[in-house]
Amino acid sequence: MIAEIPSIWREEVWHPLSVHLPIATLLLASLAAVISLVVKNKPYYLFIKQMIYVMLGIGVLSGWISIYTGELAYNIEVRKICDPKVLQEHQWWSYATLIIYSVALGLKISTNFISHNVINIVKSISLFLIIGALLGLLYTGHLGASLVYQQGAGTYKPSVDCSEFVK
Amino acid sequence: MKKLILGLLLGGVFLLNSCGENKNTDVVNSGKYQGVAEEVEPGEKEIYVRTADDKLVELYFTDDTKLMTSDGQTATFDALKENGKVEITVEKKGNKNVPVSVKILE
Repeated sequence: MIAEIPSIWREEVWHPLSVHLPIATLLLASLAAVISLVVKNKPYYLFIKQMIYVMLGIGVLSGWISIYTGELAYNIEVRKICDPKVLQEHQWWSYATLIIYSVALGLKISTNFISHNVINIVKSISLFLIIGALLGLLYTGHLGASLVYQQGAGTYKPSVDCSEFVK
Repeated sequence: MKKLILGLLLGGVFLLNSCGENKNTDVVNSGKYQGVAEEVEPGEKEIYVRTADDKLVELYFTDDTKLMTSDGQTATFDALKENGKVEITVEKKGNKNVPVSVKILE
């Protein structure tokens, strides 16, 4: 019997489809935050500040969508892979990282409403969180890569003779 | 301000601690074990069983997992109750336990 090639739109694949946008945008937000510490030129600094805001906004929003698709994939893949502890660690780090980025975004937004005495402290905390969360983002990505490339999570293993791909 | 920061930190620690599946579970050798179903999660078709030797085994039911009552009748997942006694037959595969069968004892 010839095996059937599974759909590319199956539920466990929604996660890899949705996760790369937050990875890219949150990474850019963190890198821009690092750069903002050394840039002295005012126009560049203002551009970087805006970039952090936009990247963080897109990243946090799409990040929570990825958490949702990740939960869907979790229920399927936890039964298939050989070491679910890596998946659970990936899940924990993704939540922790995204919560930190979300708090940083919340603090950034709050600077529009809070008094001037504490605005610099809040801005500094927010910047510190955005830079710190980069480590979590990288480690979460590392665990995700380990799941896919070492345990084959979410992937289809073709038959030995590749007969299902014959056209 | 200090109280606010402390509150946020404590809240953050609590929030992070409750993220995802972060129980400290054990992987046991293939075999039959008796224990208590400490937690039953119908949504994920998952149970945590505390064995007699104090190991916490996390089991994700598969399509092949047999679930039965003490007299050997086939049962559905909602028959499992938290803190109920169960007998599990598991297979160790990689770094996980796959439930072959679960018998509800009480």
